[in-house]
Amino acid sequence: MKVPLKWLAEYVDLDQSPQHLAHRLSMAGAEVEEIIQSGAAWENIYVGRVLEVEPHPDADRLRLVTVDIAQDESQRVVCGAPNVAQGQTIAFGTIGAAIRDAYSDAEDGERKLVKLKKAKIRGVESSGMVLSERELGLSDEHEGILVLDDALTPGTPLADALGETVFEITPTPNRPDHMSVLGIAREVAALTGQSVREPAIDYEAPGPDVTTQLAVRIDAPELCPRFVAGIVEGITVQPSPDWMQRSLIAAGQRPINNIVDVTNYVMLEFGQPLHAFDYDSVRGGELIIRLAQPGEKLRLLAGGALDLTDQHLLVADAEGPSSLAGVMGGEASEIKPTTTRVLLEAANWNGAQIRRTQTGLKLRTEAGARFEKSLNPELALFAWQRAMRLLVETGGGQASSGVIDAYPGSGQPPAIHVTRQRVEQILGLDVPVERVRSVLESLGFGARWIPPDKYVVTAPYWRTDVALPDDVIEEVGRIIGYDNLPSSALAGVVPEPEADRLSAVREIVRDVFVAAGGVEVISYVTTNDELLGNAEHSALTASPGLRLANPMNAERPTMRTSLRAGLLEAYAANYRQRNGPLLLFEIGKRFSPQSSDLPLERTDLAAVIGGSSQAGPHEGVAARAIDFFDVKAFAAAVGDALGADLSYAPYADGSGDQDPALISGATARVSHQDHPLGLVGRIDPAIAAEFDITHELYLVELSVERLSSIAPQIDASSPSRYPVVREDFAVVVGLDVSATDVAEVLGSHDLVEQVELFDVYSGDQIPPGKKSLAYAVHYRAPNRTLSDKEIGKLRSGVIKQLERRLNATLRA
Amino acid sequence: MTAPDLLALESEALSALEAAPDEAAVEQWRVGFLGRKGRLTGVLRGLRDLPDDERGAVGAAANQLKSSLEAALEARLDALRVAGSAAMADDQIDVTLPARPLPRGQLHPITITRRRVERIFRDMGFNVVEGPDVEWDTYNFDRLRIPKDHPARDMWDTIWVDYEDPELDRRMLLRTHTSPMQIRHMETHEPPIRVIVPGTCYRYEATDATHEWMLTQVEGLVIDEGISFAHLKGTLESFVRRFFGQELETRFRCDYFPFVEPGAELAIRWKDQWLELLGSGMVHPEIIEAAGWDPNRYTGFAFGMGIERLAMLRWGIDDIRNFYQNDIRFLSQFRGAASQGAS
Repeated sequence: MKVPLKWLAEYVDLDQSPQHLAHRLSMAGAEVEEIIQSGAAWENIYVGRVLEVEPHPDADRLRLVTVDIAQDESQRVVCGAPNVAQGQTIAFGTIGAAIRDAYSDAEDGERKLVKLKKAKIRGVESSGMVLSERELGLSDEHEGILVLDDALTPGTPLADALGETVFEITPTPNRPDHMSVLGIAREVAALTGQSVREPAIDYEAPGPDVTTQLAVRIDAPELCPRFVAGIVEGITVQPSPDWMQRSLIAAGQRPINNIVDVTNYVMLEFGQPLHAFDYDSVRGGELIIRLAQPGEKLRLLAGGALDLTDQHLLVADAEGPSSLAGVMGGEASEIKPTTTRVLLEAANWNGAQIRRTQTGLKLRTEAGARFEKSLNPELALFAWQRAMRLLVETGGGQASSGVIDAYPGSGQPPAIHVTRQRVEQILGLDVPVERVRSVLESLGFGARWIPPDKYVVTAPYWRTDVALPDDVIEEVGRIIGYDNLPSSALAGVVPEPEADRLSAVREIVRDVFVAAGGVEVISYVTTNDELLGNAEHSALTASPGLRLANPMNAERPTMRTSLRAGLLEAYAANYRQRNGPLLLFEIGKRFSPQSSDLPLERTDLAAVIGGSSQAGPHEGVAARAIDFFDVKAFAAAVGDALGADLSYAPYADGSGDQDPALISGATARVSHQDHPLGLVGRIDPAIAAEFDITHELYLVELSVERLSSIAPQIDASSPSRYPVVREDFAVVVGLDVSATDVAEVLGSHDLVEQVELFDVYSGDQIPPGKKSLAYAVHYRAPNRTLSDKEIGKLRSGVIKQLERRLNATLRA
Repeated sequence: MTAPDLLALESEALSALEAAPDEAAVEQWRVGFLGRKGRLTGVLRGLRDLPDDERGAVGAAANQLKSSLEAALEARLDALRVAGSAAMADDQIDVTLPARPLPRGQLHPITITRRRVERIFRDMGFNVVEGPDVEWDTYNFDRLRIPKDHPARDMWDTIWVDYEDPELDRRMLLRTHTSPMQIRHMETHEPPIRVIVPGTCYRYEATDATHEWMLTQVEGLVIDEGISFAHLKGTLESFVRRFFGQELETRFRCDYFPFVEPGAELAIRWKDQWLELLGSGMVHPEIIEAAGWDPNRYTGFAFGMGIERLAMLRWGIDDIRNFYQNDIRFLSQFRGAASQGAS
């Protein structure tokens, strides 16, 4: 909403600077987004008077115009405008003036600024320009030059004559009154301790009784709480007076003619949209407010025929649709240059109805933007009276006597009871009674104090947002100023801390990955079928993704079912610029649709890791490619952080489960005590290539939910004071026997403290089809030194077990 | 073996020890003279073969020799170590060569900022809870007093899920704010409530330097007896002080959110500009009543802030789109951020 300060000053005195006033308004809730200084760019542009208009010697369409701008010499320039005439007061740009290039494309509603230069046009020197509204940046009008009020003095800088300071105010949805100059004036009045000078709404009504000329019927009373109408006869359609045009231009409205301008002016002034019909185009002298019948059509003012449905609310005449209620008028009954009888409507419409219509038709108008915020029906009559007055003032003619005022639900709004105690309870400040009353009265509220503790408050008709005691209290708080209210720390009972194991473990896992060198990324949660197909057939997920109705990116319409694709994309975007390892990880949600309910949201950790190990430039230390075991270390580190020895089993477990993104021979299922946690494995090079990654790549994927169910068991004891005995075993087993199996047998006795694999060998020294695993086994007892005899017994027991359970021999 | 023999052995051993150039040679010397098969050890072993009258004197001399050789050994080793250290000190390595790097991990700036916010509120007695990213419009809008066909819905451009539940007349969406957790939390808790809700939110919004369609919010909710606007102000002012680690000017202006009354927006003075930081207000009495509590007894406040905005202000990030592009050149700038202002 653009609020020109000159207009605003008609209702309140503006003693403060625009900056200070804007600040006060913003703090109180009417946010001034911008203070626009129109005309600030009008350098070297002056008010001029046209002294003489002569034909151009060499061009029929051009003329030579002599202009007085109160300088030593009058200016003679070439002008192509059809409407230029002797005696006009105009805007004149001298050499160096900054004007809008009328033929450039508008960007964000603004055309390019250019400096006016001396020019020769068809052989005649021209050192200046008579300007149009478009060239001044006032509007898009470029049919002719801008003609100014003759009361202006030539030579006056145009910025002084025509410049405006305009507040661009962003009204909140609860304050339709902030979409009016008068509404802002009421705020200013309350903030500065003034009363508003209400606009005059009285008018002479010598015409015939309107009820003899027009009947109004409301068939949908719940959608049309009030309908006010009257007629002005013998009116002249002409340009509206200069003051009105200037106000409209400053507020961003293009003047059209006096009738349309009056309806726009009053809408901007009061916040109540109005509609003017050409009375002679209203068939049957009757208006009916009803829902449309399917199949009916309406040609709108803006052009285009609308196919109506029973969702559309109409103002119809005896023969059919006349306008789309509250949103836009119809073409048939619009004001024409020949119109002499104007039917003026000021109605109140159901906000939700107007909003549905606007949303459904993707048609947003100034009128609709106000009606959808549910105006008070009381407003309609005042605005209508104001507009009747201005119609007669600007177009002559006779206003009808009486008024059609269909207002089935009229009544007083209920009083609001606010206690002094509640004011303190909410604001934290016991506001004195007098202060409360003066604030409320300055805002137009009625406020009666009933001792010992109660105010009876009535809200003014323009304040549709105030219905509850706390609404009234906000008024008190915001006018006193939030910055003047007290501030204090929380006291009272601190609620019991709530355990949230999942997020605690999630943060631990984050820290583990960072400590191990992982760089955390956060990816967009949306993906698509192709990416899903490429990367996301994870062992953890198996369902199609949740579909969005209006995704931000049409190519990503699906919620992710794993984190893989996002990570692979991040990896691809980064790996070429990076030497050494690239360790990217993400912890986030994946979404699995469920029937008739919100999707399951599960938190995963995923990491994509590749590149080479770090090496400095130092002699004798070589970098090497990261392999499966480097990556497995990340899973093991997570296990350590949770006090768990994780188990790793070959991915191909015979169940037939396939993860097409992974090389199953280089992939392990990770579990803890038979609970699957996820996997560590090598990404299929073909999948990596889909993401334009050409080197060896690994994936870690763990369910944070499942990790969070691991509970570390810590049972501390003092270390044994007795010596350790170390013995090495080189165990020869079949290739199918895993290192874990051997270690389990070696460690099965209580007196074994530690089993450590230190060498893996297969080759000439041992039989084909076998491998040798060398372990260091540490024996120790808690309470004595082990004897040679005991150790001998342990050894032979272990060897027997190895033979029996794994068919193993000791290497000679 | 006689006493003169022992003297000869001593002088031979001492000169050999003196000639040993390094610790390895000294060890060899120790094995040769004092080891299990060493020459002095042999003398000591041979004592029992000596006649009784000689055994005492030779034995005493041999044992004395052993002690003196052991002392000489220690002295020689010390001398070698001193010389070695001196030699090493002259052999300067180039300490300016780059370190052999440990892999350098890095938390995402959103995580660092979220943790900082959580820590501050935990210190003030808040619990941290989370809620679903995919929501029903009933929680995201209706129960927050934002009914269908209400212009306030324009404040949140919505990404809808392709699913409608005709039976319960509700539609699925990506939550546009963390406020639905206010309702969900009230369903399962009783006052006193003091909770924050971090989480990802989504807006159907064209992206530019200050707008991103995916964003991280932190919601706050406090409900108890005796909670007033003064507590809202005090809590949020304290948050600003702790988050930015300095006393900043703050101001509250009136603003509108359908689920609070009065509503307020907090701005901070940052580098000579007033910048909007967060929205807040007193929990609307109808929402407290809908939760089953007496709004005349219980009052509360709520607030919501953007993590991205906090991070952008704190670190001078000029474009919000950086956060989810996952460019390591951006992410690796936050080295040390977790320790910034830590105490």
